[in-house]
Amino acid sequence: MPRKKSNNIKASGKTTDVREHPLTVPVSKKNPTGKTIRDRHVRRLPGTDLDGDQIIDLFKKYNRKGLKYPTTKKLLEEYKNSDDYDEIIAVWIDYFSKKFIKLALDPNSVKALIASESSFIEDPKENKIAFGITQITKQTLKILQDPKGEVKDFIFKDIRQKDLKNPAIAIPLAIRWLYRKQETARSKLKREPNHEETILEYKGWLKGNSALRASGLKNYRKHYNALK
Amino acid sequence: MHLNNKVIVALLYTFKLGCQSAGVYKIQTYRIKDLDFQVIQVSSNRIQQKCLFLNAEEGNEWRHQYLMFILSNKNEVLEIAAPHNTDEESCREKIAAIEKMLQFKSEIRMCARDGLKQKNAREGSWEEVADFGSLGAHKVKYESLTFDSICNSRKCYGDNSAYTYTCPGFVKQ
Repeated sequence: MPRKKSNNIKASGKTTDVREHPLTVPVSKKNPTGKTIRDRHVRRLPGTDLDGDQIIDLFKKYNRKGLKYPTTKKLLEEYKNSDDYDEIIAVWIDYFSKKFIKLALDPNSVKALIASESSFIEDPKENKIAFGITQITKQTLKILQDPKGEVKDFIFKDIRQKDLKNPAIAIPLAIRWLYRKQETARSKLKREPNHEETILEYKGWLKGNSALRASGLKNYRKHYNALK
Repeated sequence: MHLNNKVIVALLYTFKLGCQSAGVYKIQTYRIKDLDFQVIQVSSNRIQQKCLFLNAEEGNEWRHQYLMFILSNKNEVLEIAAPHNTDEESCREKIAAIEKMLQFKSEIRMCARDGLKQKNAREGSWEEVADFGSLGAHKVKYESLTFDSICNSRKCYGDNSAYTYTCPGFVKQ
């Protein structure tokens, strides 16, 4: 006999339907016995989300074998901190390419993106809308944590705006967002986007006029070419 | 006022106006390692600023590009762009801070990064033409340089803390 589902609860491939169950809670006036009943709810399956502590922990323990790193030393004459984030870039590109079973992003593309967005400044002061080394907006942060939103296949949780000042958090979020932007660019172009088109989509200029695209990419292209 | 005095005052005024419109413009290129730097000494009336709104989509509507235009003594325009996009308010604050420096002293020194390259066709600069009021509107002739810092005799403005080097004679934060 098929199981009956409640009206509002739907389980998907990334979530499971948890039945009503007893739950131990701190003793309080409201719950003097320390026991309560948790209503039926949806729970995300393991491996489909990460919080800040899990991001840090996963990075520390990640198997470095076979990782592809961005090119080193090529931007050091211009930016003193430019090689400091190579390991974070390499780990998270590898993690998400395996997670989504997709061709890995070019690590130099992510490094050049960071150069063009923030010059490797971890907390750029000259922006009140986008934050951190990868210039993620409040709106993007919200989408990246929305279990029903466009990136529901893999989301982050409990990441606050101030956490974006930490490159160890900001870079994995940006890489996850870049994989999403690769998908949206593919859908708009009806073909596989190249690295410049993915970056244009990240910056919101893929459908912009050609002059905007050319000028907007100049800074990124300069750094990407230097890394080759 | 005696006629002769009036003539002298008129001549002095004309002379002053003449000095203002000509203004100062000197540029010197330096090379450190593989990087090019431009030190530009220029009078305030040869500088224009702008925040260009980059009409991006999908959550990127915040992107504004700070631009500075400098008119050379050959009536060629150099475009100097901030290295990153910012929100509109931050971009306007930058314009106001630099405007204050320009009003305080009639001449400034500035450091711009990158080499001077003539731009080809439409690519290489954000804008085609810059308007300098009484000095006229002129074409942007070179590819965008990158803003580093600007100084008058009292203080400097600009965040060059991310860079390894800056122009000779300028302070690296």
